[in-house]
Amino acid sequence: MVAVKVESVPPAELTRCPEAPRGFPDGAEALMPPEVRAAAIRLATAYGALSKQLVRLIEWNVPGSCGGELDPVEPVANAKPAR
Amino acid sequence: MSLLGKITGFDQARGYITLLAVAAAAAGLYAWGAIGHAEAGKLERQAELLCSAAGSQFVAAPAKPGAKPKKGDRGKACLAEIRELAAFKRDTTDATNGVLAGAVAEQAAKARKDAARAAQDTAATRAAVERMEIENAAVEGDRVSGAWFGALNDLAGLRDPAD
Repeated sequence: MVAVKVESVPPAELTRCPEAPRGFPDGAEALMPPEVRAAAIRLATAYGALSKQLVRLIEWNVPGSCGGELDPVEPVANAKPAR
Repeated sequence: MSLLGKITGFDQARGYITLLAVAAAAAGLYAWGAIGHAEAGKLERQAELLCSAAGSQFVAAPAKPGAKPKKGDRGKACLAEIRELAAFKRDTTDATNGVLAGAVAEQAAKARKDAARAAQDTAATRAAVERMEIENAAVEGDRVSGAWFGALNDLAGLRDPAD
């Protein structure tokens, strides 16, 4: 028996990093009752969570595709000792 | 005459006895040889069976059709085949172990990276939620302004509107 590594990478279209849209303008002002504000906050929270989750999913499948490399926390096997 | 005849008779009898002894010895040797031969045939059949299990032949077909197979060549091809099979098994096991070990290491590295990213995301989200709560509590008369929208942009992870 020979084990062969099978790479299963989703199509490029699915691993495209989500691009955040521009937010509300700086000097915006509005009248919003509490229920509307709560709904807006719920939407924003959900959108933020979804984007982060999607980025993690894409990074899991195609590492490095969303750029913004994290701090190199992972130890490298042949790393030289820090001086 | 009678004495001589007796002696001659004895001589004849001795000849028979000698012949009998030689015949008995020959029969014994023959039987012994037959047993040895049968044993050799059995072993050869066994060898043929073993070699065919390895996908080879104990007595390989001669190079030229009609030529008699050389006795010294018996088992040579079969031995080579078995050695090849053993090497193949060893090599594939090594390769498989390498692939599996690599996959495990890669998975671990991915999980580590993802955990770091998740921790970073959680911290950022918590800070954004806190800021949003503060800004939302500060709203007076349902009038929301820049700071509130800024907190909302941050919470949703939206880009700077000035970009």
